[in-house]
Amino acid sequence: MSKPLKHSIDYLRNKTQKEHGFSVPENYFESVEDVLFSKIVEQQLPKNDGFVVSEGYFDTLETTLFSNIEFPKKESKVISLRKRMIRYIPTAAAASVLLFFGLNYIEITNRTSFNDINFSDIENWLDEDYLDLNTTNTIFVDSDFTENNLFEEVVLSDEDLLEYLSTVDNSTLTEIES
Amino acid sequence: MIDEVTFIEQLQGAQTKEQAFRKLVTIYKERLYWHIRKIVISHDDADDVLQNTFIKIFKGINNFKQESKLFSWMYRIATNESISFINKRARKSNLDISDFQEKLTSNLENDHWFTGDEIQIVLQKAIHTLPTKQKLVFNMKYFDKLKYKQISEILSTSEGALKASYFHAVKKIESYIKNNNH
Repeated sequence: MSKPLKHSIDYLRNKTQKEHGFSVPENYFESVEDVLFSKIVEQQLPKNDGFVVSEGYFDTLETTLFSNIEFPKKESKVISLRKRMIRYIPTAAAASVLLFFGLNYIEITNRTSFNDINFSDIENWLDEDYLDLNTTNTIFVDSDFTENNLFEEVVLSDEDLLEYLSTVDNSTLTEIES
Repeated sequence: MIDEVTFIEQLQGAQTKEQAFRKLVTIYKERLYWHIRKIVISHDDADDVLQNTFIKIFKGINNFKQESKLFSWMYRIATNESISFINKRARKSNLDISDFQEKLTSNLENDHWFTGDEIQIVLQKAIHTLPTKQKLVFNMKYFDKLKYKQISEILSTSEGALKASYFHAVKKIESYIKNNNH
């Protein structure tokens, strides 16, 4: 061995202790033979299972299969009128009872007396619905309805007064005097 | 221990093959495993390649002509299986073989089955920068302590060429370690 090579190898040996650092799982080497032989046996086994089918077997499979199956025919159901009526009787009876009580209930709750009506309701009714004051409104203006106009500024002439008095029933006046 | 010729006859005889083969596996499994492991790096890959190697040996034993030692013949099969394995892996990864070898050792720190310390990691990285033949020669000489004559049989290379390869390998590794180990 040449000197430079020896020198280099000594250097490596000192550095690495000639160890490569690889390790293996515990008991790995004990199982090598078993794993290997099962592989060898596996490889020696035939790859095909040896079964064959007749030529075109899979092409005709559906035809053969469906010809041997009896599918149930679809039939439309016939229900007699009598049966149908009988079936509806309980429903109809229940509906009648509900209708009877329902109508009575509505009648009872809708029975209203005059006393039930509020004054405010009457006022609203008069104001909004019953009286149409549009025509009257056009004749009068607001100032016509002031207190003075109505009570203080009414001026009657003597003739008018006498005429009014002549129309008054005298019996009434007597009653007042007494 | 029976002589090699008798052992080979048992390996090739239909009646004795299985038993002789079991014996062969028991004798050589560890040596072949470590040889493979140092090339493919991962334990799982080494296990696969070891199985394939023995299956090849089992299938090919009847054609073994005894032109070389049985041991050399098996080593050659293990070497070929390992190299074709990493070449296949490199092709699958779309990587050049030297890039792939670098990748193989790049994650040694996290390999559960690598218990070496920092210097062993640097050493593996250095080995995997070498051309394939130099790497093989270095592993077989430095770790497996094989003789040049045996390596010559395994790799079908002259002893002189092997010596030169080993010299180059050692110098490169020494230089790599000096530059990468602080």
